[in-house]
Amino acid sequence: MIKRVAMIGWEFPPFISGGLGVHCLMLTRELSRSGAGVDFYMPRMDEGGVGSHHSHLKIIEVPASGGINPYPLTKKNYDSNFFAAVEEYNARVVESFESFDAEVVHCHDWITVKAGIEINRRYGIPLVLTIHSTEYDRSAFFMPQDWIIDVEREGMNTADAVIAVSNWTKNMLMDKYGIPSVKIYAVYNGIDVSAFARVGGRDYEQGGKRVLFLAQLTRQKGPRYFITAAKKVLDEVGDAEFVVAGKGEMLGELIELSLELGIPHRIRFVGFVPDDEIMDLYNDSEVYVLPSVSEPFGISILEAMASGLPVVVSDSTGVGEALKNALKVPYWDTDEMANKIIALLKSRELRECIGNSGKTECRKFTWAKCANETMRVYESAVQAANGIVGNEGGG
Amino acid sequence: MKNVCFYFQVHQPMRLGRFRAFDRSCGNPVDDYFDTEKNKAIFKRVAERCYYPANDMMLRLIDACGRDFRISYSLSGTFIEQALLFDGGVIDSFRELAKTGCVEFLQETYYHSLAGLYEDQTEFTEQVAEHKRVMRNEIGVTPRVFRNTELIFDNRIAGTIKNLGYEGIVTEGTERILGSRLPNYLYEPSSVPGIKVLLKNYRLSDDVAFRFGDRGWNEYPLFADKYARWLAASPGETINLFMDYETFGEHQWKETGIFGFMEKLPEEMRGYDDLRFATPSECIDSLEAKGRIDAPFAISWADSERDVSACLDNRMQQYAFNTLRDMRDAVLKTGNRQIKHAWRLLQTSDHYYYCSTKFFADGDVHTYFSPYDNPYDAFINYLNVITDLQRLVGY
Repeated sequence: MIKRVAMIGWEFPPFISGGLGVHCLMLTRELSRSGAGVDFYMPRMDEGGVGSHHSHLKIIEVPASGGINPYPLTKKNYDSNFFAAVEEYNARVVESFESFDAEVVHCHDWITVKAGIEINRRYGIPLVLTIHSTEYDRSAFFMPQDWIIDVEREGMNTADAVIAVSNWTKNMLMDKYGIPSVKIYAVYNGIDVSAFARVGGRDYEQGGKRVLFLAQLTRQKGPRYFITAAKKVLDEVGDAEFVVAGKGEMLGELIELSLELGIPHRIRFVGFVPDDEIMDLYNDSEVYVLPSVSEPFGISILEAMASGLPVVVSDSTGVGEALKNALKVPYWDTDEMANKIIALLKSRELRECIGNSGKTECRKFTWAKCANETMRVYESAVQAANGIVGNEGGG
Repeated sequence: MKNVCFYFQVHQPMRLGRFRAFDRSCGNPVDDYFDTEKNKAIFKRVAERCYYPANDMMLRLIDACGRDFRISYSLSGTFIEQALLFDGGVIDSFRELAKTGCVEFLQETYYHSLAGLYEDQTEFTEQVAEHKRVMRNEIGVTPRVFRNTELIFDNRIAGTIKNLGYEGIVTEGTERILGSRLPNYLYEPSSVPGIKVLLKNYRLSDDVAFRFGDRGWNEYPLFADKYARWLAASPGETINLFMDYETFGEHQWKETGIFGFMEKLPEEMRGYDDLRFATPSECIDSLEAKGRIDAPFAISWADSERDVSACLDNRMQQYAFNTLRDMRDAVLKTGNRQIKHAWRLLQTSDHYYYCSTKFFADGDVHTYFSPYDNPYDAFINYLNVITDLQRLVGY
């Protein structure tokens, strides 16, 4: 049992811009419930304090050029200011480090790993690194930046244990980064289903024909495949309607594609949808589609399922590997994607079977389980630091 | 004397090819819907692993036992049809078994269908008549005893079968109709007395069919001497051992010793004076019904529930079942023999079985027998086919 953890974060609710923040909040909450104390390092934000409502952990705010998103929407946001801010933040974390009684230091992604490496070097505290996504995922294998890959690799090589958010990611770490299987543990994220469970349940009898894409409009999420499949669906189901929710660098080319295919009137680009409206979007849709080229986990798949929505996802998503009640297709196979969407739109019976079963299935991904398994990885990391290696067969 | 009555089910469904929402049959639905290559490959494999070696073994046993050895088979029409198409030698080998006089063949529906569950029994009756024709023409026998798909049985089916002149019917010896009574006697339906019912002893049958090669089973390994001892100790007048023929070589690989087990069984049974082999007809001729059974709801040999839930549990299956049943008039009106044949091949129970979502308790069996990754893909493909068939017949 590990009693104290120093965790290095980047964002944290209410200052949240991605899944990383949610992960840290839920993970630390569950860890402290099971008796572990957490010192959480994060950048000091310009406006307001982090708040006393996170009483489950000790927050150590590190002065840095705050307010930056670790995963900017577009490539061009990866500018030199951003990288300088990351460098600066990591250096300041090391300077501010005060958790000398921590048994483990836990970092998340390349954005915080430099600090972890240095703390590990200086104080010999075993290092655990969670990989939420790799540069290969974010770039969809299209011109990944070598120096980020180098930082990721260095972090994983230094770490005493690496947590991958799925076996999909674990395999990526082995194949692309050459990290040995024994030190990588696949630990799934959790979901708090209560936020998504529709009161009274979904009415599958209602005959809408709305298909939802809800993700950033980046190459990684495969929105082009969604539009291409939409055309094929419309050839069979003329009154189908497609909603593209999210913003990103590909918006222009997606609009162009829908014009080219002659289906602009059946596709609605609704832009970024704030959290409090996402529930309505799920409720007003019949099918959720995520054709990601490479998705380390894919928490929104679980959110859609929690609301009873049938999902069609690419077979290159992390959470998909553990799901029985999700329809899976290769991301590039838009014929098969369309085939599955058509069946869902046509058959209330199929929607109901898969929607109801999926709603039950997504409950198996709990944060308590995630924290429990993370705790076991901490223990393995401490052992590994002491020269005992042993992840038999992996996560 | 106590009868040991073996009946083996020999069946192969006509599996569908991949048929997508945009595919259309050009008017030869049997060729367009069904995957001849895949069916041929599977048939050849099962013939090599099971049909040939098992039939050879049975012929040897009949020779060696001086004709005291007795067994029975039920060959589905879709099996015979594929055997004639892909490997005629298999049919020759069953003909040879028929000639020994030690082997009985049972009647079933040609299409191994669920037509017995239709309220209007006309379709069911026609499919039984079609099976009668093929058994007479290809095997040269006219069965006296009926067995229904998945051993599905209820009062209505019993009535239809008695009216058709059959003297016996086989079904599952489940507590749901027996209560605390033993399956090892003949019974008659209280609704239609006068036809004898043979009930499967599912414990002793499943010891061979399912548990034989299971190393986790506390009786593993099962040798013929032990099994003969169990048969001798099982009270009653007839022990009905009903199982899939693929138990030999397919479900239980030859490496488990299943062939050697069967080959030794007659010899081991000779050590018990009151045990003898018998066919279902011999049971009917020599034994009186010991009690009455009532089956207002259908029972079957499938899964742990022993009801029709493996085929008709979820709404996808019910939709498929109802749609197929209700398009009968439209199909017959076309007067097109290929359309009629395709429609009937689609009634084969396996197609419904593939759509079963009873994952967690019985799921392993369903997955093992299904050519699809999951029940949803199975349903989508099936839905596409029946939607196209509806188009062809204008239903």
